[in-house]
Amino acid sequence: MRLKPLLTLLIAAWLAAASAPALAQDGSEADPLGGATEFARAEARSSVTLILDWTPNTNHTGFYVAQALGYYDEANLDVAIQEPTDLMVETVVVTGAAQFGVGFQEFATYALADGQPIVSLAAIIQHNTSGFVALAEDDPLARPADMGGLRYGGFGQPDLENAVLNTLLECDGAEPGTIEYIDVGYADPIPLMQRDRFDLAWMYYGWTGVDAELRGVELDAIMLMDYLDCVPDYYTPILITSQDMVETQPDVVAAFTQATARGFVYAIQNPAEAAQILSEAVPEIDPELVRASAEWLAPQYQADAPRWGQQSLEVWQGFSDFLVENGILAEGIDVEAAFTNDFLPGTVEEQ
Amino acid sequence: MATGERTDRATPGASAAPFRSWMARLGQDVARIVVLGAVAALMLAFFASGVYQLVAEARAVENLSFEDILPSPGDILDAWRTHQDLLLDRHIPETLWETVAGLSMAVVLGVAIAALMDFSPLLRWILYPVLVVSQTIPIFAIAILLILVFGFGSGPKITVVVLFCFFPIALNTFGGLQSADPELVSLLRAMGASSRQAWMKVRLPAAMPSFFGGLRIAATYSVVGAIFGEYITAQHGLGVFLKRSYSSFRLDQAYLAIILTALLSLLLVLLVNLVERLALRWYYTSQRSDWRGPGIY
Repeated sequence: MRLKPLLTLLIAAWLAAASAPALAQDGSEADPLGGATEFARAEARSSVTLILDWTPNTNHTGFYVAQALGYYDEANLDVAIQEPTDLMVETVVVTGAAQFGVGFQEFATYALADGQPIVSLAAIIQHNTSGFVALAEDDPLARPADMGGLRYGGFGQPDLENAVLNTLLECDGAEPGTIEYIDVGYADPIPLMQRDRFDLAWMYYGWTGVDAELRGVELDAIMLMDYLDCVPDYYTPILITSQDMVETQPDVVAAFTQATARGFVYAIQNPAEAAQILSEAVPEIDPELVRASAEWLAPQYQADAPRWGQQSLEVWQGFSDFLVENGILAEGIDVEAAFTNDFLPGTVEEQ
Repeated sequence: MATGERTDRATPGASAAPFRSWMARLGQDVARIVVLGAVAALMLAFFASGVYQLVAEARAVENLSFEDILPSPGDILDAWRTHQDLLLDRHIPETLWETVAGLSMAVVLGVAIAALMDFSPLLRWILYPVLVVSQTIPIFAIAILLILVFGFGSGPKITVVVLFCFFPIALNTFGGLQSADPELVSLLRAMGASSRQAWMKVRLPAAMPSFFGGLRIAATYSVVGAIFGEYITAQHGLGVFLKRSYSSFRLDQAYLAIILTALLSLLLVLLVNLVERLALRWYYTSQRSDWRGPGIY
């Protein structure tokens, strides 16, 4: 008879010990779900289409997790995921062909300046995880000024790319305009750099940079997140929808956003399992790269934000100002209308 | 004798006429030689500078090595073994469906347009530029339009295949229809055939070899068309497999997709040749014994 209370005590102690790491994790950084334990559901069973920005990669892990683990199903949603290459996501979302899309703050800002009613619902990755990289042995980069005089392989947005490069050079006291621009589209930059076609490339470190590491290529990187006092931070990628969806189907928007949040939170807390889910859903992409990239990105999705997906006015305004200062936009956008945190799960203190 | 009489009627002053016409013909010949010579010289100049540019740029490259860029056949075979089921169950059937559906519609559309152009010179005047312009539209320009009209199903992909394929069929079939012997048509009309009968018995058979030439070209481009259509957006297909492989830097898989595309295209062309051999044998029964057809195999 005395055994039973002892066992109960032991089991309780074991449970407490097992949950302690989880509790500690939530305690040391803000709850990525904003403290929510219940999540929005669509009023009626709804079929929605999510259109990605490119082929599936670890920027999209949360979506595939939410689908595989039934978060969308619990939110009363049937989600179809489309992957484009020849389409502008902002346009597809605005026309209503897809209800949700994966966009970027740059393109969303251009679309808004163009009068397209886009609304950003969440910052999928809190800070800019892109950077300018070069082969370490050919062109070592310790600071932005080291990029001066190099040949840069761009992807076809010279106004923005040159603006960012020149701003970095000027911040570091170097002469702007010394970087030669070569348009290489979306070709894999590493083999081209290894064959000395150009020296510098701009990439998402979490995917292309991690892949280079896996291949044993040594890269030096100037990460934009290290120079936020120079080039303002901007959210890339973001979850977008149309103004029309926000006004006419807010329940669906809330349901989708919160289920997606749960998916990305799972990716933050269980990167290996999330990587496995992504690889199973998309077997064509290299599973080794997916796993390594998922581990790299896990701490980046939320980073230091009060919850996953939280966006701030300063970031939207700062980047709009940057585009205007560099002559890319004639005038700034109405940043208040550009984004909302209202559909994210839970609550956070007013920033 | 008849030529001399015509010259006499055409120009007054019978004694000066032969000399004048000789001068005119010489002038025309000289003009023709000058113009053709200029065109040939221009083409030669572009050819020479183009070749020079290619050679010079290739020479300027310092380390031209293909490792890391070209996967080994062993790697490609491994990629096939890894993804064999996925390809056979999902991707290849999807692309094949888009291709064959698009090609069939392209045949109907192409032959219909060729018939319309053959029937009426006015329609030809209107449709010919439309045909050419249809081939100059870049896919990304109409991509959003296709999604708006068809949604995310097979519609956009099949449309792209039709867009790629109907042009060679229409153009070649039209050429074939125009090549029909007009004297044969006159003969049939003289024997009391209606224009429809004349069309069916003379013009259409005359167009058959050209039609198959156009179909062969269309078949060659059809699979690639489906893949380009899948680039717009798709969930299954060789284009999806190719894109996903390329974006995760799996060149072995990418090259596997390219090889499979090539094999499918080859298969379709062989099929066209087979159909041609059977169909034309039926039409040209007089040459039954040694009819080979213009096909490659």
